[in-house]
Amino acid sequence: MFHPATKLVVITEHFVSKKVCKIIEAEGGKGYTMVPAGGKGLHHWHPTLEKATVIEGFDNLKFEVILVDRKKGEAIAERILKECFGEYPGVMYLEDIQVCRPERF
Amino acid sequence: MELIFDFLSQFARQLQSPTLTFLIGGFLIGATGSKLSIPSPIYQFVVFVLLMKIGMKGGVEIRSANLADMFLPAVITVVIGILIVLIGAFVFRRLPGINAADGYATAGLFGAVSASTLAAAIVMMEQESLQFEAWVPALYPFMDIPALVLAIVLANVHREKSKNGAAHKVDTLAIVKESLQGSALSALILGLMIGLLGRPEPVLQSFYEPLFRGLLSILMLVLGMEAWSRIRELKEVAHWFAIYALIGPILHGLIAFGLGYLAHLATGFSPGGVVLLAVIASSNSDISGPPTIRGGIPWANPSAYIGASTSVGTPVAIAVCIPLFISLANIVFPN
Repeated sequence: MFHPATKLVVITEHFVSKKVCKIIEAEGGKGYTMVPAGGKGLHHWHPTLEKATVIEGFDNLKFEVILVDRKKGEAIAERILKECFGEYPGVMYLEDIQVCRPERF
Repeated sequence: MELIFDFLSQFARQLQSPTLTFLIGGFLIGATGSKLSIPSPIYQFVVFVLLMKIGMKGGVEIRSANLADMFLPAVITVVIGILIVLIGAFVFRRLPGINAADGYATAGLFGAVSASTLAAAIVMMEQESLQFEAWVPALYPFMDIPALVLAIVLANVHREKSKNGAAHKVDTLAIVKESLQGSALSALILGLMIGLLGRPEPVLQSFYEPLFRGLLSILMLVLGMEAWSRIRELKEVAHWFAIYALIGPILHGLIAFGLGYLAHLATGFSPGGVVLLAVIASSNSDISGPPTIRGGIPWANPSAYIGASTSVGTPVAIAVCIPLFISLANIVFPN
């Protein structure tokens, strides 16, 4: 029932989210999941959106892209690293996972 | 001497006003590490109601106003926005240990306008029975947008010049669009349009106006809490940002007060209008400006400009500048 696949996880600022989505789609990602992210980074604490923050857009998002072709994941990661992480903070990693219905990815 | 005495008595009275007590209360709640928090959707709703009310009231008044009266104050407002950024850029360029981009970004935020300071000034002026033309708050974007655009253009020109000598083109339209799409300015413009084109008086009087003061107190509480939480970030950057944030709002407001006074002499711009213009100039954007700056100058350090604006600039604009300019008006415009 389960098939091997790769999950690319990207955690970055809301500001750069549109660009990240474009790169994922341009490099063959068929879809992705976005959830609010918060926690402690290298410099300071990044709050989640539960508490009112006066300033708009400084929240962080976590993207998850599942791909059956690992090379596509690597290509997406390479472009995000080059085009987004020069000016915006971010964390990125790949995970080996098992998925059902692999044709969706 | 009279100004100092008047200011001190005014200031002591304002410290007890709901606007300032809630701001200080929020700051203390933050300092004590209390778990009390206002959820984001409530905060967003509060900003929406406040700006809709200000916009609608302005729109209703513009319907019957002489548009020619608005012209000179609007021009002055644009000039002030540009002037504040140029002064800020000039000052930061000469200070040691300042990253140029951080200086431009901070100057841009201080040239831009704070919706919360504007709302606080309106309530405090109503308490003092200081009348102003209801279209004055509509001058907000005339200062906000030129300041943000200019700061982003200057930062980009500086960056390109230091790289290869050729300036790269900044997408000004995208910055204007980004500013107008911010929640505070969107609500203000929507309110203005509804007030201008519709007949919103019944809902304005029965819903938005009675809610205004109460909701402003919640906004002040959130601002106080935010000011405390950003102080740590400000400590990480050069102390010049804190000094600029302390002096800048007062200086910017005084420049606006002077230019507003000239408009008073030339076209009869009301004393209340002069005060509100000075408060708009002394305020620094705390809701919609930072994301525009982050998008336009992503290589600037947000801790510098947000720390300066939210933890020092906004409290100074609300707690010092509003009472200062109300007191100044009482002396400059005796009844």
